[in-house]
Amino acid sequence: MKKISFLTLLLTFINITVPKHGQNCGGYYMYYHMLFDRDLVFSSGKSLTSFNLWNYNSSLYGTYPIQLQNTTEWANFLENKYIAKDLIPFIYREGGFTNHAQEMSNLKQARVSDKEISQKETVFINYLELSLQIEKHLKAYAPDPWSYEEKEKTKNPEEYNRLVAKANQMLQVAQHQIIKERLAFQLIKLHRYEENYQEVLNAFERNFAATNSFIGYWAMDHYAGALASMGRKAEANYYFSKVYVNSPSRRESAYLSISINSEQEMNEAKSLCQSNDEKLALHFIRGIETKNLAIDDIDFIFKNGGNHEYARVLMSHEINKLEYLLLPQNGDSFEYSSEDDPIKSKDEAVNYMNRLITLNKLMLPKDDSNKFWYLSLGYLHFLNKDYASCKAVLDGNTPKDESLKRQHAVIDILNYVSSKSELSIVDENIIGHKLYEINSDNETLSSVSTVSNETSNTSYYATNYYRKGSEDYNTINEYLFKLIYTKVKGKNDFKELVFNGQTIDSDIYDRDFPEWNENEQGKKALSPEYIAELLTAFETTEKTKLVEYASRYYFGMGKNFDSDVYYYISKFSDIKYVLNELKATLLMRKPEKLAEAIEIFEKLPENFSNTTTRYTDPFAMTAKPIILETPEEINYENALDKLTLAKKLQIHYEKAKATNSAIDYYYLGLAYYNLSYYSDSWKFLAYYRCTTKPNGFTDNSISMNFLNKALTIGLGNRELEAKAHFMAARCELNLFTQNYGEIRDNYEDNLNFYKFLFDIKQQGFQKNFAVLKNTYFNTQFYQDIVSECSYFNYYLN
Amino acid sequence: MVRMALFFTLLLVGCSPAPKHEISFYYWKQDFNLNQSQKAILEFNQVKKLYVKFFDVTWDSRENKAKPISKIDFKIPVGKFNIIPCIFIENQVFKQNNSADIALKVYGLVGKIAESNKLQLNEIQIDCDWTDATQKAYFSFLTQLKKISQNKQIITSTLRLHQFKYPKKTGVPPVEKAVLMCYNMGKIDNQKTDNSIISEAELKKYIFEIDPYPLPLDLALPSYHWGLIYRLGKLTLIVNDIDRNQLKSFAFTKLSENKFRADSNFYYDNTYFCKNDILRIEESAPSTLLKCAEILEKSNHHFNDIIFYHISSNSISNYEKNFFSNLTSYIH
Repeated sequence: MKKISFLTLLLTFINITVPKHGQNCGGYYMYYHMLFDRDLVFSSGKSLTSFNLWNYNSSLYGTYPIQLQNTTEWANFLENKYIAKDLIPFIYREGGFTNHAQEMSNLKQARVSDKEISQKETVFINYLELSLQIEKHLKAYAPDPWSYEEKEKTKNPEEYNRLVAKANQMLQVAQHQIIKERLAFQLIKLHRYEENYQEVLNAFERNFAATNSFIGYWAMDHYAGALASMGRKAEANYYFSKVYVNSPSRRESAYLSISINSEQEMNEAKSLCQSNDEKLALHFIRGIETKNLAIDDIDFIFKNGGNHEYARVLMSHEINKLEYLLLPQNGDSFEYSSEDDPIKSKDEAVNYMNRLITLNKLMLPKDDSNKFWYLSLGYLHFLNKDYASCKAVLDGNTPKDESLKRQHAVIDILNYVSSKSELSIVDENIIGHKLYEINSDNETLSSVSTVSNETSNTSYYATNYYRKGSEDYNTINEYLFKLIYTKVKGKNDFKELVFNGQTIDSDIYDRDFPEWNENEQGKKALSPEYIAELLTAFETTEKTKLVEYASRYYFGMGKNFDSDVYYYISKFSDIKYVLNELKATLLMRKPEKLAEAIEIFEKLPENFSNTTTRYTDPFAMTAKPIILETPEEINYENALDKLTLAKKLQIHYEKAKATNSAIDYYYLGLAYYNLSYYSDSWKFLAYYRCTTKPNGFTDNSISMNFLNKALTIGLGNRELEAKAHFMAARCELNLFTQNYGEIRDNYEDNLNFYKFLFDIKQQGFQKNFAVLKNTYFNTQFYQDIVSECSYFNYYLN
Repeated sequence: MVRMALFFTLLLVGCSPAPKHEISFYYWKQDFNLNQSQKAILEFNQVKKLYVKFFDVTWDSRENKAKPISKIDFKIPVGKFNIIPCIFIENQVFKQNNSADIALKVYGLVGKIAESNKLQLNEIQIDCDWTDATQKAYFSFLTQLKKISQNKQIITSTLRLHQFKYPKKTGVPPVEKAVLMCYNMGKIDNQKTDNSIISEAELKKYIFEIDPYPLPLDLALPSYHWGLIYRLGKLTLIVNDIDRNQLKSFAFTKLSENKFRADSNFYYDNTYFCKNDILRIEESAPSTLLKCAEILEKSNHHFNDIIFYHISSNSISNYEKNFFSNLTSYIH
């Protein structure tokens, strides 16, 4: 099927909805290798005034910091008798104003000192009362989106007039600047919602003519909005741009409100600018629009503002776009060839990159100790595969700032690896040491971006689930390892594993599906034989710093999903224990290999052999539906580790074979069912359970054979025999469904489900149910399953 | 291309078989207003029905709820036309389990708009590009809508070409009839595509060797044009109703009949072009439409009404008044 429909029609929809404007068709989202890392070059955006990527850094643009900014001013006004964050729930609340006495009492419950400031507290409460009334009044002005032409009906001019009069009255007698500004802001809001735009302008110009307080910029946002509504577009754009620059909390709304659609409109807005920086800001705002190409705006800013932050942010943004287009992405091949060169096939991006390189070279004389422009030029050369030029730019131009220095090292490593067709032992050691260095000597991290406060004091494993900024796809490790992978592929199984850019959780454990196709996937299925190959390769691989680093990255996640149980790899050589544990676990899936598994487990250090203690009992059975989660009441007496379990299974297995013991076959059947994907002890024999299709240990024929043997020999107890038939019926069901294909849901009449029931019966996969029904109907267990097993009930009915 | 279009147009004018289908148009803009050329086209083709987009329903991820946007504003009375409200619903809306609620709200808002503009409605058309993930919810929505309407209106649904071709996989909507959208058939995001709106080669891939669709069908054909802007090789912007004649006033280099390169940064009709952007103009050319009509004629599919998408004030003047009725006479 051609995949044209969604994109095409979505675009059509967008296109038609707002005619005659160029509509954004996506742009360049930041879901890719961000190796020129904004976190590093701009200290996570905190050193900037101009980052408008509000969805990127919620610590700057989220609701909480905005509220905190406001309450901090109130806390100062109240002479720090109250903590700013404690005032947030007091001001930003669902409920309305109660009464003065109650509100005062509630406020005072949050005091951290007994300072006497009752006059200020009263002023604060009075203001709060008015502002909550205004909030309530304005809520009605936001029409129900599912209404039609009802906006006018929700207006309440009487209340508007009353609130305006009250605000003006309070403003006249207000003595504190904070109160005056906030009352003026409330007035402006009231007028704006009432569409009384001239009054908005009057109130703003009267009260905020020369302000730089944050509430002043909030008021300016309304002022600009009123100007826009009055058709004074140039002024509106100018004031929105001022809000954009000066008010992070209003940056998003101001950015979205700016509407410059021609060079004339741009010039008209610029003509209102009071300073050079204000003009630069207008170019920055145009350039930061993701879909635009900013090179001309960078050029303007550079020529008129030199090494300005706006130019640096825009260049970083443009580089990120090029990374998206030029670096291989997840799933792309890293194996370049002349026919399929990812850069050569992207002529337009390459052309743009070369224009940026030319411009960037002009910036170098104005660079400072942060060496931003050297880093950006070096990185552009790297993107251009001009490794010699990249090296020449980087050498001798190391920034002083720590995070920029780390960015320098990242580019240096990437360039170094890319410039080599093969990596020697010396190369690997150099790269390994550099990686440890940029990661502050941590063993491994998922991203250089995480080498900040969040991870430095946390355990090695705590970093594994943490990827800073969930929107950031890539990391230096993931990209670099994939790059190295192209150089080691087919040469060394172990290196191929640790440099494949993934981790054990997302790689080897994910290859544990019965239908895994090695040819299609290009990776071997999880099997004892494959693990044996890896062990051999591990022994012969040179243990360079890079291999060590990559191995720790790969195996660092080598733990089961339970948060309380995992391996701890304290040294590089521990990796062979991880592999051996894995091999022994896979061997346990075959009863005839239990002895071999036991031998491996017994040689493992204690922290590897007992890492998977479980509290479920694989030898128990129930007629009730099996719950896969950890039991609520943990029975510590029944705790089992893999070695103990393997020995128990081995005893039953040997006894069953030697004495033809039906009861031992029965327990083996029971255990191998419960250890499978379908039951609650699956974690003994697998590391991950997929919820959409069977994986791990899925072979119920092993259990079925044991149960059949037990029944053939004779258990000598009808209740036990009924249980054995029931467990065999469960095996039959699972064996049938594995080959049945999708069981489609039919939401109207369950036709597909009944078809499934018909097919399973017709194809002879309900023999054990038939025996239960015909032969064991008078057992107690039969009564149990009739009440507990709805599937059996379907069969009966 | 223009000459060829003229040739075919003249050809059609020269031999006009009697129209076999009722002709209608979609009106897809927010402000309902008709200029003289639009009125003339409607008059000449004896158009009785206008399919008017009343609003879109989108998913507001901030508030986590479905919301209607771009509600229609009737600037002029609709006069004699039978108005069929169309509602475009984002697929995302049906990823939530809320079909019954959405059906009530959609029907309620359609009713309010109709009441406010004194419209009698006998049909409501829903436009949604449902997928595997949303089919169940969308079909449930249609069923709910049908129940709520209590047979006062029939409920119809649009049908994309891939849904038309693979009814077993995509399901058949539980409605009384559907409209096959016979446009947007090429790869719009591929810079090498010649025309993603309509092409004979693409149409053939969808129309032949398949069974007749198990619902009565109307047919929607394109009558619009646009400009697609590729920046750094990626589709970045769409400019509706782009005027070829205006291009020569701007810094474009003509690369081929329908492709142009921007030679500098500039604003064109509210759109900011960047140096080296590639502009591709796509049209629903009369000659292409005629060839597609011939293909449809050769197929084993039967269509009732023919609806043109859409009666844009700019695009529509590119067609002769009698073009539409002549074209539809070729489709059985």
